[in-house]
Amino acid sequence: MSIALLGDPEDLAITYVSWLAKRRGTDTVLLPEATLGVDWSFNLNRAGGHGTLRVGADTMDLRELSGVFVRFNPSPGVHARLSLDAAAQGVLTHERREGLHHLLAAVPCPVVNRPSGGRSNASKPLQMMELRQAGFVIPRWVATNRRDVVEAFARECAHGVIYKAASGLRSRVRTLDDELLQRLTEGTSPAVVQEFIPGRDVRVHTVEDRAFATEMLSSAIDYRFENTTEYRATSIDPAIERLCCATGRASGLCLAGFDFRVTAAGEWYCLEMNPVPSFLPYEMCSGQPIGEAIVDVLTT
Amino acid sequence: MTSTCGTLVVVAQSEDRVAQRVTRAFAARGGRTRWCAPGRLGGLKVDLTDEAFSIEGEPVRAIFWRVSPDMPLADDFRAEDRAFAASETAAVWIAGQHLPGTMAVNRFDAEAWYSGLRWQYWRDRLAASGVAVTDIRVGDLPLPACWQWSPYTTGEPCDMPEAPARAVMASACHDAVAPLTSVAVCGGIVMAAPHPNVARAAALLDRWGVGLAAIDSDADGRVHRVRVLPEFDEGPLFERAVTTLGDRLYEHCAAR
Repeated sequence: MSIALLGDPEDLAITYVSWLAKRRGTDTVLLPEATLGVDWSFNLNRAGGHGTLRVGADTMDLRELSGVFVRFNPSPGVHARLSLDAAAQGVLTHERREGLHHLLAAVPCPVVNRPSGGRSNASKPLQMMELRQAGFVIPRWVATNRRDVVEAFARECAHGVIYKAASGLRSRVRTLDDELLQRLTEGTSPAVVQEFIPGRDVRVHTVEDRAFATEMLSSAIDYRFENTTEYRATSIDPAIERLCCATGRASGLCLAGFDFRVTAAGEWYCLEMNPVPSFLPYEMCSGQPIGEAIVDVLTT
Repeated sequence: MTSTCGTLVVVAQSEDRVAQRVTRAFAARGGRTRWCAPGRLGGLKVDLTDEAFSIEGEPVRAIFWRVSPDMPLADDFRAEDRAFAASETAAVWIAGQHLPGTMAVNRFDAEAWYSGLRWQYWRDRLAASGVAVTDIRVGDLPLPACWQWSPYTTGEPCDMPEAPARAVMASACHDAVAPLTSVAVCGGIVMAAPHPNVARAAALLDRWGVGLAAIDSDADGRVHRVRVLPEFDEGPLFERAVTTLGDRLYEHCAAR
């Protein structure tokens, strides 16, 4: 049995998981998206993941894969051997990505993660509704491009408000400022404005039924953009741990990253669930064995 | 009557005949509609909480959503801002359709919307739920020359490429299917005696928020393709579909 590593071979998470697997003596096969059809290929000939994988001169049944770890590049390359104009490259990259999604939907082994899992992260308002329904406590929010609504909402929130992108596009979380108010006055697309929760930042990574909580020590509103942020392992409320694992699993995610603000009174406010979490900074700085847990999933 | 009925928001291109006729059927019952062109959505004033969704200050009771993920949604923005604005706008509108008091047709869940609403996505999802689907081969397997290729991005069958090209694109190919198209409306099939497999597909689609779809199947009722933004030829079937949708949307908007 082998682990397949699919997507961007330059991705650090792929490199790290590959290294951990090899250290255990587990075979790995690297499947770079850009070289599909050139250095490797696959076919599906029936439903239920029946098909074969060819890598160089070797051919294996897809059912011989014990797991697949996936990290796609948002701008995947095209192999130099394929001489295509820009338009044809665009068609190829779209078709190829959809074909890989089809493969990942079909293989019967664990996939970390199937792209269909946790999609609501691309709509923060929808994800917050879903997380609330799942049982998490969510800070109050409004998604709007109306200045009067933002100002009225901010007046209701004793500790102020922050704002962030409504979609899955990476954006820096900021406290309400003149820049947003000016944009709202001039006319802009909607953003999520949310009650600010004083407390500490905690990231909980779930790997199926295991949870790893990391606390971030930072004075910044968005610790991800702060060079001096310190990471350390922390404990987690057992009920929150169970809820995270159950929600990740229900969302089709073997690996998930939940962001929390935890108040001094011990209230856990969930901010979002990330379906493609960058677990490396948390593992490297806190020493939590997230990567090993991922390899466990991929090899069992 | 009109004063007690909530607003139906129709988001569709102006030439969309299905949307036009659903709007007409809804208005014939006395309902109030607001028509929004997809390209103008980004510029509309919206506010959404986990309890209510308003457009230009007006609460929304129902949405007829004829938008695909690749449509531009922010034509009023500067060229360099359009992609971001469209992404933000879609994120809010998709969420707004999931409020408990809002009826949306179609109400795509995040998995479907962000998968691009592609034909093979629905096939895979239906197949995983036990619906029989037609045979498809992916990749560079040797196949009869009469087979066809359906690109993932369009779903329209065309000539099959050579094996090396099929390997590079992981192409999905299939035998030529003379499809029988069934119209699924609110979980039912608008025809006298639908094949049980197609009827089951329609029920599942409705459970997933897809109240309007065209289901292409083969002669044995196996689902080949699902189109969730279908167009139809005028005729009795079209009339039944748009009238049923208009009535359902009105009943929701009029209910208290």
